Amino acid sequence: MSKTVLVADDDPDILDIVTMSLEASGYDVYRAENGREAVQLARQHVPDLILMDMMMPVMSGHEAIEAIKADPATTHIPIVGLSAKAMATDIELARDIGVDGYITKPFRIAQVVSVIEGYL
Amino acid sequence: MVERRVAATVRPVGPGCTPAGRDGEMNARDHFTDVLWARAILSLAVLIAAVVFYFRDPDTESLVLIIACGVFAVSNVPFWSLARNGSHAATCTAMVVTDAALITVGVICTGGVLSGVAIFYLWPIILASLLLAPWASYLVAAGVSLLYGTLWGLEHLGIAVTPSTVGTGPLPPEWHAQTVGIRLAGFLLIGLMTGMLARALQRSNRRLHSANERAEEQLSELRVANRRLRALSDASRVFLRRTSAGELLDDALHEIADVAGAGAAFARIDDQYAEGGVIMARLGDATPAVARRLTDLGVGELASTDSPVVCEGRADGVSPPALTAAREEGYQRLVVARLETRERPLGFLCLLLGTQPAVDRERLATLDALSGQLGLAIGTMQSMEALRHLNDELRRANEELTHLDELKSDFMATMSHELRTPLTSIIGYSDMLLSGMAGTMDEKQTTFVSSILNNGESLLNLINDILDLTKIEAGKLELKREAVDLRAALLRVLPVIKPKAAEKGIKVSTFLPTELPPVDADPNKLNQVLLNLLTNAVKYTQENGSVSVEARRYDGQVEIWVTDTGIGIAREDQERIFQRFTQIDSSSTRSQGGTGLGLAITKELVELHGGSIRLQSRLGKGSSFIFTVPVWQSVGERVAETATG
Repeated sequence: MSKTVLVADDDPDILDIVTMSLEASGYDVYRAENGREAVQLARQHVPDLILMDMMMPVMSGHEAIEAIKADPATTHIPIVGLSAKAMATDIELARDIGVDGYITKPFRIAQVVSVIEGYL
Repeated sequence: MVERRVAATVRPVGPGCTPAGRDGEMNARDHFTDVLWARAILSLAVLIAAVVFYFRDPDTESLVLIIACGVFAVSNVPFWSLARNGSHAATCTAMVVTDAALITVGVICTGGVLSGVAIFYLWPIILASLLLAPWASYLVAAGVSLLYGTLWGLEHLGIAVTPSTVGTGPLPPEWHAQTVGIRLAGFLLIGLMTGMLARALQRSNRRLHSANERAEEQLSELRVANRRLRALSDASRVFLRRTSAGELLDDALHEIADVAGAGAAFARIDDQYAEGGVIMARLGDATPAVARRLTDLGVGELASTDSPVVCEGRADGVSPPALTAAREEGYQRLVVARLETRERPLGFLCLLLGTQPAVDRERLATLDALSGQLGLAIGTMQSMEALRHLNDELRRANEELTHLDELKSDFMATMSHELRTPLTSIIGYSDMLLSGMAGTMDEKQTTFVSSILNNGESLLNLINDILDLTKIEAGKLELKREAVDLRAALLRVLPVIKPKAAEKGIKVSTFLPTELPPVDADPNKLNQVLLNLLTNAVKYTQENGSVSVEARRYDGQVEIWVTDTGIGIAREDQERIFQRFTQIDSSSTRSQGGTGLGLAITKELVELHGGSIRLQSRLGKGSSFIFTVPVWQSVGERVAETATG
């Protein structure tokens, strides 16, 4: 059975790129367009890894990560930040709320795949 | 300024009187010299007479006379020195007593029994000189001589016999006339001498008296000065307590009006920070309307000198308009003083005086000193206020700059974010196309998409470099320094450039001495510097060239040479190679990629570490970029260095 990855991003292009790239690498992908959807899908499917954009409407990546990490059912899922916020302070902030990795946009497909492989 | 003024007003007292005193002293001394000369001549004359008597008839009386004359002559010496030392009064008294004593002895010796009578004539002369005016002794001497001569004449002619006048005595009769002659001459000489002495004494007394008066005068001047100083020091204390020019002016006006006994006063100074550029202080009945009217009528211009001016109308009845206006308000006179610092005029103060007596010289001098001091104090305060304002402005400017800096940082962060999002799509899709996820592409399509991807990545590098540079410039880049082994650093960097070098057939070699010490650097930033220089070296070196990294210890630093056999940089371009967005040959650089910020960042990073970077290059022959990094010092070494340094 293939590994499942939850991808949350409000930009449909980026969502498409990541989804297609991961599917091409043999992962099952759940798509979320905002933080709330991400939290729901995480609880519903308990994926093996979550790729989370930080700035999203409805519920931000930060809030979603805090919610997922606070829920005992989902707290074990490794979360990798995926964000256009590339300043050192942004990355530190993400670490503080519990992300396990961080990829800055733009990224190369191979880079994303290799990071994910590291956690699975 | 104040001190100078005080000195100037006190000064005339001393020297002004000094020449007169010296004059009197000269006269007294001359007079004494005359007396001493007279004594010397007299003693010489009597001595000669006594010696002649002695040789003609050696007896005890003549011998005593000779001795008396000798003492008389010798006594000139101590009197001379006493007179030279200036103690004239003492000299005069001593001289009169000595002379009287000697003359008495002399007369007794020459006159025998008659001497008592002679003394009877002699003492009135001496007493007259001591008790009456100097000329009295001349008159008494003349009178006594006349009386003595008359009595002798009467007796000689046998008209009257006064046994007590002349008598026969031990002298032979033919000497009578001579004795009488000598005595008469003696009376006159003594009269002359005592008169001169008395005159000298009188002059000396007069001089003493005037010296005394002068001392009194000086004492009273000192008292005035003292009072002025006390007023000044009181005022200074008041002045020092104040922190604003307005408060100070109010207080000072009170003090100054007190000194002059003025019930109404006002002052006006220019102050760039005050409302309307002017500070006014008023006291008593000086209403704003009065102050304004007098100011408009030019009361300030009445203070035409440095010192305060008392303005009470002129003899010809023509009064300045301001004084006329003050009279209409019921005042009799004005005292106007300038207020100024050493450098600039500030304004003036004006005291309005009613019917009280005029302001005396002493008070005027105190006013002068106080207004001088007030000017200085206000000047200082205004300077301080100006400084405070300047300081505030600087603080505001600084806050603004800090705010602008924050805005810039915010802007850079936002810009970075906003550019990254579309770039993600560009790079992501082209990456997907190239990886064949959307089917295979022909060669042309592959070339085009590769170009999109490469340029997208160039844009990303540019964004990263700009962010780096902004951070360095804002001073927000903090180095995490540690001991870094250069060999290890190169091992991390070389694999990144090796593929590209291998592609171009470029030989990359490193020459590091075995005893190279660790350097004091942030490992990530040192990597960035090395990577940047090595990427450039590979980029600008033709196929089959070579790139080398060498290092050596030099003067507390490690000097690292990154040398290539590339295209080199012309001398005229070497200056600006480290500037931003500088690429020497733009046509060739387009194909080489790069943001034009790499060397600028490299230079900033090296300098942030306390090192320096330079370039040696010849066009067509290759380039060497040489940078230095401080050698790592253990804590012990640092302590030792601080102790010795």
